[in-house]
Formats: sequence, C-alpha cells, structure tokens
Amino acid sequence: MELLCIRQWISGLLPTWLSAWCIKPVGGALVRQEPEYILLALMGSPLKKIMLCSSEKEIFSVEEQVMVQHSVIINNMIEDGSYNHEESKIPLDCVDSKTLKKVIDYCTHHTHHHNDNQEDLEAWDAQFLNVDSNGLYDLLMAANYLEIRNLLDLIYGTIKNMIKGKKIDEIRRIFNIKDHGFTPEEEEQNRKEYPHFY
Amino acid sequence: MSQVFGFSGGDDFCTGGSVYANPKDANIFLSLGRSVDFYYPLPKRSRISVSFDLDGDWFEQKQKTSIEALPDECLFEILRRLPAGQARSACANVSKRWLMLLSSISNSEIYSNANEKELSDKEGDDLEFGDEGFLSRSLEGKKATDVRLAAIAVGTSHRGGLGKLSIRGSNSDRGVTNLGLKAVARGCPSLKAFSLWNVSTVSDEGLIEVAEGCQKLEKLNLCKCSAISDKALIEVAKKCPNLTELSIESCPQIGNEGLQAVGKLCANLRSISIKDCTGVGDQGIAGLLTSASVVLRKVKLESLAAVSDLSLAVIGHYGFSVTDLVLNCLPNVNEKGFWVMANGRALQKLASLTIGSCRGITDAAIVAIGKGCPNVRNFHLSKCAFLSDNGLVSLTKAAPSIESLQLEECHRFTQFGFFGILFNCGAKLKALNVVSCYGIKDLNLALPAGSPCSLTSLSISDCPGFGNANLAVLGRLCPRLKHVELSGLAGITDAGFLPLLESSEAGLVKVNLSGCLNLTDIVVISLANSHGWTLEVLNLDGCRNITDASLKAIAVNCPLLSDLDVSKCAITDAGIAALARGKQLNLEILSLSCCSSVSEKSLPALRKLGNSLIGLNIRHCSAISSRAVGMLVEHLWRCDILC
Repeated sequence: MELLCIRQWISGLLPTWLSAWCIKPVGGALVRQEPEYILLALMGSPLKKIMLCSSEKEIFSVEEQVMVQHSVIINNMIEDGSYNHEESKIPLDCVDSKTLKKVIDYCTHHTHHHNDNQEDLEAWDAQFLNVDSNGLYDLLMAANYLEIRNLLDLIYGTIKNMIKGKKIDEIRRIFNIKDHGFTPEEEEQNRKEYPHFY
Repeated sequence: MSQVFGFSGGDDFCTGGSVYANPKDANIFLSLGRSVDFYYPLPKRSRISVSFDLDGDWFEQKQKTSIEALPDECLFEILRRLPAGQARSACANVSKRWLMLLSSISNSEIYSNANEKELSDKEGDDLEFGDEGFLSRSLEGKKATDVRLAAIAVGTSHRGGLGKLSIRGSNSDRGVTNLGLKAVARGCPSLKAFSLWNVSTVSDEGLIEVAEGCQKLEKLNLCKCSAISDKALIEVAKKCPNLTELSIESCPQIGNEGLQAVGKLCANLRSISIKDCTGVGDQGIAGLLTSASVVLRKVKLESLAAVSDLSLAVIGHYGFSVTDLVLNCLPNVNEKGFWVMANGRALQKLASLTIGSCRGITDAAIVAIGKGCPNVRNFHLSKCAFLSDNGLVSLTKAAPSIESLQLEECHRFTQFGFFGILFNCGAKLKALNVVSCYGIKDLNLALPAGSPCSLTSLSISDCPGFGNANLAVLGRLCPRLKHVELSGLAGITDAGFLPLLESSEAGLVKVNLSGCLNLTDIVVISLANSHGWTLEVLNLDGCRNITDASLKAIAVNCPLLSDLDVSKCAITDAGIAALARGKQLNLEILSLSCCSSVSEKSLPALRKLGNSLIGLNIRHCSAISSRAVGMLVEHLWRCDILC
C-alpha cells in the first residue's frame, strides 16, 4: 500500500498525461516504470542502467553509457551480449564497495564533464586522488581490472611523481618496501657506489 | 503483498535504480534511499584485518599496504614512465624487483608524453638515451651476477651508454643467466665489445637477445661457454652487420654452420680467432674464407683437430687480404697442406706468420712458404720439431722481405744453423730471437770470416749450450747491434762478452743480461765506458757477482739510462749513494728486489733519485723496514713503489 501512495505522490508531481504511463498492466501484474525512464525516453536518450556488484555483494547502479565509455572490460561484456539488462549484474569480486564507488565517481564525472576545460578537470582529478596509499593501490587494481585507461594513466602518473626526485630510503619508507631483496653485500656496494641516491 | 513484489526486475532486493537522477547524490543517503521502498538489512562489510592499536588511532587502519603488493604489470607501467636519468638510476637501487623490472624496459617502451618532456627539459634532466657507448664495465667471478648486470644496464643508459662489457666467470650461487643478458640487451643498445668467459649458465637464448638488442656489436669474444651453439652465432651474424672481430675458444657446441653463416653475413669481419673447438672443421673454415675473403685480415686457428690440409689450401687460395696468420697445434695438417697454402699465391699481403706445434712444418714446407708468401716480414716458429738448420737457412735466403725471425723450442736447430742465418741474411734480417733451443751448443771449430750482417736486435734466452765461443763470432758478425738480450745463459763469462762489446760499432741501447751468473763488474764497467752515451735500458737481474763498482761506473757514464734492474746483485748502500750522486742520471725505473744489503741508509739516496723515478721495486729487501718503506711511499708520491 505504501508503494502506491508513493507512486501517486510522484505521479502527482508529473503532468497528468505523463502519469498515465506510470502504471502499466502487463500480464496481470502491475509493471512499475521509473519516471525518469519515461522522461528520458521522451527526450530521446536511453538511460540504460547496469548493475555492478562489489566483492561485498553491494550493488551499484550506474549508467551504461558512463561505464562503457571508460571501461574496456564492461564495454566488451555489453557488446558481446553476455550482460542482460533486465536480469543480470556484473560481479566484480576483486573490487570492494568503497573503491567501486570511487571508480564510478570518476567515470561519471569524466563523462558528464568532459567538455570542461583542462585545468578544472585536473583540479578535480587531484582532489579525487587525495587518498591514502591503500586507497590508491585499491583504485589502481580496480582500474587495472576494469581496464579504465585514463584512470590508470592518471594513477600511474601520480605514483611516478611520488617516486621522482626522492631518495631511495625515502622511497622505501613511503611505499613501505620492507625487503629490498638485495644481499647485504650488494646493498653495501650500492650504497658505496651511489651515496647521493640514498 | 504479492502485488508489491510483482514488478519487473530481478528477485534481488535491489530496486533497479536510484531515486536520484545523479547516482552520486545517492551516496550520502544510500542506505536510506533503499529503505524508502522497503527495508532490508545492511550487508555485513568484511573488514580488512586491522591490528588494534590502543594508542588512539584505533579507528584508522594501521596496516599499510606496500607497493610490493601490486602485480608486475602495474609496477612495470609506473617504472616505464620514469624519465631516463637520475630517477631511473635511483629506482634501480630501491629493490631487486624494481631493478629487474627496470632492466626489462627497452628504450622504445619508455613512455613520455609531450608535457612531461617539456617539464623535464626545464628541470634539466637528461632524457637523451646515450648512444655513443663511452662506458666500459667488467664483471669477474663472485661479482658477476644477474643483479649486477641489471644494475649496469640501467645505470649506464643515461651516462653515455655502455660500450664494452666483459663478463669473466660467474657467481656460483646466483650467477649470470639469460635474464642478465636480456637486461643488457634492453638497456645497452650501443654495446660494441662483448666478452663472455667461462660462463656455462648462459645459453643461446641469452646471446640471441644480446644480438637483437645490441646491433652495433663489433667485437665478440666467447671463451669456455659450453652452452652456446651455432644457433646463437647465426643470429649474431644476422643481426650484427658491424661485426669486425670474432674470437671463439673452447666452445664445443659451435661448429661449421655458425662459421659459414658468419662468413656469409658479416661483410665487415676483419679478425677471426678459433681455438679448441671440436666442432669446427674444414667446412667452417672454407665457408668463412671463401665468402669473407675481401676484408679478413687476421686469421688465427689453434688446437683444431678437425682442420686438415683442405683448410690451408683454402687459405692459400682465398686469403687475399690476410696480413696476420697464426696456425698453432693443428695435428691433422701435413707438409702437403703447407705446400699447397704457399703455392696458392693468394697470400701476397701476408706480413706476419706464426706457426707452432705443427708436425707438418718441415724444411721443404717452410721454404715453400718463404717463396710463396714474398711479403712476410715476421716469422715466428715455435715447437717445430722437424725444422732443421737447412730449412731455416734456406728460409732466410729465400724469403725476400724477412725482417724478424723468432725460433722457440726448435731443438733441431743448432749453432750451425744459427750462424748460417747470420751469414746469409745480408741486409734483410733485423731481429733474431732464439728461445729455449736446446740444440744450440758452443762452436768448437773456427768459422770462415763472413760479411757482417745488419742485425740490430738479438735475443738469446734459455739456450744452455750457448757459450763464449759463439759470442766471439757474434761480435764479428753483428757490429750493428743495438738490442742485446742474453738471458739465462750461465755459460757466458766476461771473456766472451767483452769482445762483443768491443766490436759493436753502433752503440748498444738495450742490454739484458739477466741470469748470466758468471758475469762480473768488468763487463758492466766496460759497457758503461764504451756504450754509456747510448745505453737506455740495462738489466742485470740475477747477476750475483755485480757489485757497487758497476753502479759507480753507471752513475758517471750513462746519462740516458732510464731503466736499471739490479735485482739479486751484490750491491750495497754505497752503490745506491753513488747512483744518486750521478748528476746526469735520470732514472725512471729502478729495481732492487732481493738485494739484502740495501738498507735504510739508502733512503736519502733513493729520495734524491726519486725526483725522476716513476717506478721503484724494493720487494724482498729484507734490510728495509716497513716504517722506512712507509716514509719512502710518502716522499715519493709520484712514484709507483712495489714492496
């Protein structure tokens, strides 16, 4: 009953000729149509949504256009028809919810704001990547898995800039490299040969 | 109720869409947004294991993930973007994994977009990939590991490029493998000289990688590489057109096919040296010489059992540009082979010929060579057991351009042959060098007077039979001697040597009398008096009877003397003092090793001599304490002191 009230409330907001479309009887059951579907259907662009399921089994709904534009993996899945809009969701078992949220964030922002000027976009990107190192690596792994080229380039560039110009001891500390893998003699020789790097 | 759930969509709890047009807005109220439609409990989030720190950072995640958790491909992409230069070299030392990844990046894979290039140009980073190949590195024994190779490959790339790499031996635990060579191939495109000795862990794959990556390779040297076969050599021949020098030793898997490919494809090959390779035979040599005949200058074939007369025939017919030929220890080559080689008439440019341990060299063969290769200036014959006096004298007569003859361990050579050569060499022969020929004995009959020859350099070492009588005749026959070496001849005494000094008209420049135990001061004093104005090098090592008197004479009479060796002589401090007093003396190298009578009293004299000295040997001088040596080292800082 509550559902009907809400629907009526929504349909009350829409012009009457539109609300007629909200409830459709299909095969005896009431088929609910989201108002924005109809709106957009009228406007001419299909706002198809796809569902992404994180490793924590949380479902995220996102515009197909957005993900298809950025993620090669998702694009391939949709193109070869393995994704059925009505039924399936895309399981992403190696991406957790927090990261998936951020990834979706990035993709949507870049799709909707791709006409903005370079500086604004770069500023948004810098803000976007203002996370701790764990979050950065998680983002990188997610972008790698989903094959989101521009996010990957962005993160690679950021990490590269974190490395560039720093001394080796600092790099090891920042990136938490505990075991450098050299034998003690090799490490000693390296320190002797390149003292200015350490 | 069933009507509520009877809507299209999945049976899952998800509503199939967000209430908000922009999903981003839903973030804040996500859980609320869902419960607008119906209630479902929040899914339990799996927590990353947190080590509970009760310091107050309880809510923060304490465990910091390391960059090492990233897969290789991601780390590769990050490292690929580092500009060539300081950054890369620094990263090569961060960890072994980073080093190996960096070394696998070839210069075509380094990623730099236009913005970055501008930025780093402003910062002054050197982005140029060195392609001149100025640097040279050598790894030996324990230090030869893959990690070192990778470090070299990454470290030299921006500082002028690696031009020469030599790997000798390999660490027994973590030695050089194909991986290390791959790193070199990726990082050192300007490699010109590559030397691989005694590395059995490297196989064809590694050398093929080097051939692909270092196409400017000019010199290749393989020794005791048991895992390298023809396959790798063929690839090198295909990919490295600039190859000029190839040297292969003790590589059992390299055979004729590899050499044939080299002959066909390496048009610039100048020098080839093959030693102890069981797989190399006539076909390989023939393939090499018939194709590369245009520029091959130096040919060295040593210890090849499969090489027979046929190879020599090919050399004799196709070796138009060969200037240096070395044939050592070829057991299956007979006299006929040498004869055919000589008569092939192609070896017209041959200037230097070295033959050793070949039973095919007989008198007839050597004379044929002397006639057939008219421009040979230097003959070096060693361990030729079948060469006798006749052959050598005939050679001296027949070879029109002979300038230098060296005979080593040719035991059928006697004093008759020796003087026969001196009689017949006329104006041609300038240098005669006889080493360890035990057939030479002292003359016991008088020889007719002969015209003097123009020999300027004579060296006789370790021929125990050589005695005074020979020396006397020598003096008459060789008045123009400048370099005399009579080493290890215990049979010589003053009586024999003095006439030689007297008859020498030209003025001796280099005299080496080492090991002539029976010579005394008289010889040296006479030498200093008559040849002091030309003498530059004097070696009296082991002449036990030489005393301070000699040094006094030298100090006064030998202004040009620069190298003096009086090791094991009976000299004392007084002699050194006398040397120092010599006003005109400008010694550069002085050797006093094993002189037990030289003590610390000589230090002032040595300091004075040290003004011009660049090398001083005071090894085993038991009377000089280490403190004194220390003081000497401090004072003579310009001098290289061996102690």
